[in-house]
Amino acid sequence: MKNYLPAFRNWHFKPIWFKISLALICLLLADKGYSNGLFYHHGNNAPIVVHGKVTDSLGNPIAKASVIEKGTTTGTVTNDKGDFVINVSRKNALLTISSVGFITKDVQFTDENFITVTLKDSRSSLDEIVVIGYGTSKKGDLTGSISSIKGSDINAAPVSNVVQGLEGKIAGVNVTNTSGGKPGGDITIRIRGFNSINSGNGPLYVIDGFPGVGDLNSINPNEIASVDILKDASATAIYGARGANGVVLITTKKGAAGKTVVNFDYSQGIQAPLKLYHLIDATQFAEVANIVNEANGLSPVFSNPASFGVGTDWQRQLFNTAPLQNAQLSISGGDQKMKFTISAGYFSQDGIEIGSGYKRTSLSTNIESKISDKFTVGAYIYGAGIVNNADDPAATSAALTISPILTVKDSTGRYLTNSDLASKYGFGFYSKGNPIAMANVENTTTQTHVLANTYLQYKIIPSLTFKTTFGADIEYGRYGYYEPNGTPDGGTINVGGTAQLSTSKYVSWLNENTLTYDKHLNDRNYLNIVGGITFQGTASSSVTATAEGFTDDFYKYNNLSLGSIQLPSSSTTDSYQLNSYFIRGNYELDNKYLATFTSRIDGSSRFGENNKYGFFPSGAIGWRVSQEDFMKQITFISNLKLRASYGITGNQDIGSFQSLANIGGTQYILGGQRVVGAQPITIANPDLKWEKTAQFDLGIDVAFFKDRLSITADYYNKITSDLLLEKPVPASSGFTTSLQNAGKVGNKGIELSINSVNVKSNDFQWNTGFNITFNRNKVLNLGGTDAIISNGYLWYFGDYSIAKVGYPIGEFYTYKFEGIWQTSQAAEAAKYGEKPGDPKFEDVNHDGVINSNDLTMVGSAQPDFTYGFSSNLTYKSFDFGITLNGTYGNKVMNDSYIDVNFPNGTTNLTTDAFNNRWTPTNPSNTHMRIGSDINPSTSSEYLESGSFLEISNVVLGYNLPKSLTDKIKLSKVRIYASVQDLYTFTKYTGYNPEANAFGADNLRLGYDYSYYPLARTFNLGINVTF
Amino acid sequence: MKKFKINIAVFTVCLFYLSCSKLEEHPQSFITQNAYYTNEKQAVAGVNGIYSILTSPGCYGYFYRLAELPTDQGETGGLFQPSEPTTSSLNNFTFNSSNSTFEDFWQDHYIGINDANLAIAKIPGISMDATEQKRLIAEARFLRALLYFNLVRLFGDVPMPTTYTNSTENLDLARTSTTEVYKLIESDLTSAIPDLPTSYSATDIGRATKGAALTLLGKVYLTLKDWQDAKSTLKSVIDLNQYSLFPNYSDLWQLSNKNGQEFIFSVQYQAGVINSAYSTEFAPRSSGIQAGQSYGEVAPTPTFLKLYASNDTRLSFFKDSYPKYQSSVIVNFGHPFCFKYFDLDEGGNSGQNYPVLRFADVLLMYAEAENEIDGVGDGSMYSSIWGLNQIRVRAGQPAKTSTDFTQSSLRNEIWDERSRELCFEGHRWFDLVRTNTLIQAAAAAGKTATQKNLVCPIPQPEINADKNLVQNPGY
Repeated sequence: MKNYLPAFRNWHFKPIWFKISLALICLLLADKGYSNGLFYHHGNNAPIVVHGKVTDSLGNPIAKASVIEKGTTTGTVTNDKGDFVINVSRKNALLTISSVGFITKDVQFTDENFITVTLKDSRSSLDEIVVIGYGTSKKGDLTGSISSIKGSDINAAPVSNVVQGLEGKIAGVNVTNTSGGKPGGDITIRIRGFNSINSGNGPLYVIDGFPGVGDLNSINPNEIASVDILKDASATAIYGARGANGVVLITTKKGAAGKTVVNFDYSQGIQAPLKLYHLIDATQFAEVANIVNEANGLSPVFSNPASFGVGTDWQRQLFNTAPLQNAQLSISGGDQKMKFTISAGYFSQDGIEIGSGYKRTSLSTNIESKISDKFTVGAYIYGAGIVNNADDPAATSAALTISPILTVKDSTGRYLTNSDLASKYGFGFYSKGNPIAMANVENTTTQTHVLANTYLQYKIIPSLTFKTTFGADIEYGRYGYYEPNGTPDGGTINVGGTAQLSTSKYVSWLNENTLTYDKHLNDRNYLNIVGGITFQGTASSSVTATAEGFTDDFYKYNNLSLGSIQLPSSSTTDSYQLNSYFIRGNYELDNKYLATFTSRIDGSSRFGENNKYGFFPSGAIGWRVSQEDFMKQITFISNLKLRASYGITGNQDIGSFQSLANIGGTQYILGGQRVVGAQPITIANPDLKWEKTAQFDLGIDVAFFKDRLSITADYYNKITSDLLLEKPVPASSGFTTSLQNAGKVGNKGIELSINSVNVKSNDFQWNTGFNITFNRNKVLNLGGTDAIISNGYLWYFGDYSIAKVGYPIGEFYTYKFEGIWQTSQAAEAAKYGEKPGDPKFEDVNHDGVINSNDLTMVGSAQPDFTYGFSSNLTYKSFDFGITLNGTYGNKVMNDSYIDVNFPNGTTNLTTDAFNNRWTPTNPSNTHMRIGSDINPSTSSEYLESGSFLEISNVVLGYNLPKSLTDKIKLSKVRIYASVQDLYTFTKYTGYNPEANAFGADNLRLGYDYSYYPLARTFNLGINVTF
Repeated sequence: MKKFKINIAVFTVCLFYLSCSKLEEHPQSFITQNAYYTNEKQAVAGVNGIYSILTSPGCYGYFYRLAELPTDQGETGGLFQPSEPTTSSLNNFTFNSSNSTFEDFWQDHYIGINDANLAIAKIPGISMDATEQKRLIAEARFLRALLYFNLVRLFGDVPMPTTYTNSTENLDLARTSTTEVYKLIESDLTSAIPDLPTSYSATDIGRATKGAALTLLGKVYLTLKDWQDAKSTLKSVIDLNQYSLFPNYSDLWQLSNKNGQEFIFSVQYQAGVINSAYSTEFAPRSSGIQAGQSYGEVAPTPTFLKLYASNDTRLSFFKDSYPKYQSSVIVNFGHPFCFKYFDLDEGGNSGQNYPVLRFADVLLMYAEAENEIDGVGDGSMYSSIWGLNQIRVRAGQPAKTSTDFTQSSLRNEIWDERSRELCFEGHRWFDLVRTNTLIQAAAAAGKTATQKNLVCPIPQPEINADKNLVQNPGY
């Protein structure tokens, strides 16, 4: 472009040339058909013969490349040696040279009669545009560690959440589906390990430049054109106090100039539970209770166990196959001045657990208009409505523990629980509720989410652009809960219905102002500088009202005044603000030596009055070794780049007002009425500030055989200090913890990703990708304390997670299971008050008593490595894709077994615990006897390997032949079938090794309790473009 | 165009200045500590805040765990399912410093103490009605004394902050001697007594009264074996003529009587507003006799039940069977459970109060002190046996005469009567330690307590967090 600008300018000053041109254009328009001839005949003299050669960037000849004189029909193709001969009409003629797989190039023929043309491979990943914070860059020019993934790869099969589509695809990015098949459930994403113990560990999400978008679940993944993940400090420092956990940049689909394209996609799927527990039947259940009584010297509970038969399979009652629907429509197009995309989406997923489901309807407009050469305006507006019928998280544990003897309801329509069995038979059957009744409790969130971001861009001079954006992220939520009369949840029978309704509002506004200077200063030097000032404010509020004692279930939560007991309503309000100033410079010398410097100053209202502003600098250098002359000889290496970066980023992810001494409200009863009290809740900390993560990254990008094989490897070392730690303080202060900056956590690791194009021909293409990440996480310091112990799901049974100096975050801290006391060990067992057949725990301090002093670290919830593999094949009209992902070396605590593998007769059992129980004649060392009177306790007995390899996605597609699509006037029709979560290879015996009952908790990792089972989803879909 | 450029520049600069000073936080849903305690209403709310800690699990919510389980009176009621190690280790004296019951107790008591310290420091600076101001300070002092009294009896020497916490500096407090703690308790109570009213109007029922402070002070003196002061203080409670025994023992546990004539200070609950859990905690686990889940945390030991004469009316509060909820089917528990707090229809919504101080306790404490000073007495008013007989007669037992006892046998009889009368109301462990009978009483119930169990272990998380805190011997 820059070459032609002076010429245009000249026209203004030379009216005669202008007039001639105008005349020519008029002629052109007047008779297009004649114009070619016109030029030919009125050109200079006789044709000129030009010889030339076309090669690729490595100097290899390109055969069958097309060579055309621009503006004419004169053309030829190269031979096998890449040579061509063409007659051109005049001197200075333009030749357009193109070949499949290469970027088309115009060359000006001057005086030479032999020209060599080098075409760049259009598939070269080095020219791919990568989104970086506040700008874009060619992949080849990057100095930081950034991984990109296309929207089409995320949406290879219908996913409800964009993060789900990242699973297993990017090195250093660990996506864990902690909530199984739950529609709209939590998915955690951790980039390069765990930095924080009490603050957030999730990355910053930025959608089209809008940072900190609250709820990603409500974003339609089909909106997304690409996701770029910033991993090292050089890349993330531009996001300063929010960059420490990595940044996920999401770019939405934009229209392109040209024909208007309409795309419609519809798929219908069915989900089924992937795996269920094998539990004993009603007859065996009755036998267990009898064995327990026999062990205690009592008469049998049931006189004829066999009379109960098989009984109720509660898991089958609770979990069912469920449909899934996804429909997407988009229209995009535009011209040189205006581009647009309008899309609409509908996603509906019923849960495999009855009573749960998720629906999302979304609409968006993306528009960009060039008002003049200098001004461009654009807007992205996204709106979504979500209805989420949540499950009852305790329903699964109720289904596992409830007796198969019971039916769902009795003859009067009343829900039954183990309590009914207990009072009928006088045995202590323990009730966790009736799972079907619990699943039918209404638990619905409706949400409206609007994200709007507008911008105005002004080209001050060609190399200097000013851009200002205004945006808002608005969410409105309404949560309704209704527990009908007679619902036995836990053990409590609800007398009168209970209703709760809450509404919440979240508004985040943003103004960003940037100046970008981008210029090739000369042949050797390129400079890009971005500076900016941004302001972002967030305000949220909520109201909750609760009433109980509804005699009529009709009203649910829609008329709270009809509850006989009105519970206190509550409301909250919160706000915070960020003021930021940043600058980034990118410099390139000779297209070989790259340097980046970034710094950001972030001011956050969340921090103490003494520390409102923080400074986050980073620097990086890159060396494109393959551009060096000495590398030209080594032709099998098509790209080689070394990168190094160091920088400091922050984490401000704590709530607002945390540095202040908060007087909170409490309540008490005086005179039979509620009175309100005031009580200090927090100690002031005026020095509170962000967590600081210093990261060093060393990376190499190498590609072989014309980029057919490319490898990226990174080593990183992160130290997070000044942790935002809920540091225990002596409780004699009246407080148990205080939020302070104390402690250090380290993460270091290696990421490797290998991509290869195995076969590349017209009919058959085959690509594979593999990535693997080794992260080593270690607590380095906890500000004076040695360990932070956090209660696990069933902590009162000895189930804890620990962060201890010198160990990874989230080690399991519990009793160590040492097998079963055998008959020969009766005397020793008796010292611990136990008998043969009882479980044996390690007496860590050898004091002859097993108590909490014997809790010990028994394993880590963090994997040794995580990995992913994907492969895509295209053969003629067929395409096939498969994605696998896995972890190795992590442990999962299956707390379900405290119920179903602890045979004291009070709950249902697994067939394993029943069939393999210890008896004098079956001296099992893994399963205890039935009827032991010891206290239940969690131990390493329930800790299992969480290593797995999951076939997360398989897609098979078929494109209808063009002859057929032309007939029906469509440009493309693809029919596809997919299976998600097809199979998991694992030794884990629970529902899913990715389980975590604590969702995205930082410290309590890998707890499986009352899990929503993973679902296998079969989909059939059609995609139509016209 | 140039003008436009300037406009953009001006606009940007304006934005910069407009926004950069706005990083101060102005919370709207709470008031910061330094801005609080500026008016009468905040003074009242601040003192209400101290009361509110009484219902917390670590305060009186789970008080019965520590007061009844490590004694001869109570045991875990987990007949149907073994109880949690937290409670079973209390029952059999295998507990250690990591038992969360101690940590909860410690934390919640000190939260209340910090609240009280703040109120005591701040309320004098508020301009408000002088009588109310004095009363509120006196209430705060009463509550601080009550909380310290629980702490010092359970743990021995304890850290004794008397000022509120305002920063994280200097929080590693060492333990203050028992003597010093008792001095603070005594001075708090003696200064509170004159400023507290003998009774409250209907809307303030539940606040600390003069009688409550006197009774607590009497209990403190009795614990310190200061018989003379105990006697005179407790006599002044009797002479207030504010309190009397209900005619029937069962009247005590009627919900309609919950702040009636015999109750001096109780933790207040109201069904559906702040529910008490005692009904479900004491009812046999999973028995189906209540609308909700019952837990059977504590049950009477057979040893303890032998203390009762067979015609003692109080025995009716121990049942080993009961009709199933909304049914005529009788559920047999195979073991008696305490039904004092039983609230049939509660379904998780019980309004049963927890009695901290009641008049029967005053009479028995008076009798004990008087016996130490003057011996058995003749049965006339203000004699030791007079106090005992009032309790006996109400329970349907014949009055005793002076010839039935020596001073020593009456001492034992009063202790037993305390167990019969006040069982499962949070007294037993403290009485056994106070009277130095814990080890033998535990042995009689088949439990093994040792010398170290006369105080409880300082919670381990506190030892970890506070570098100046030293553990009790043996733990």
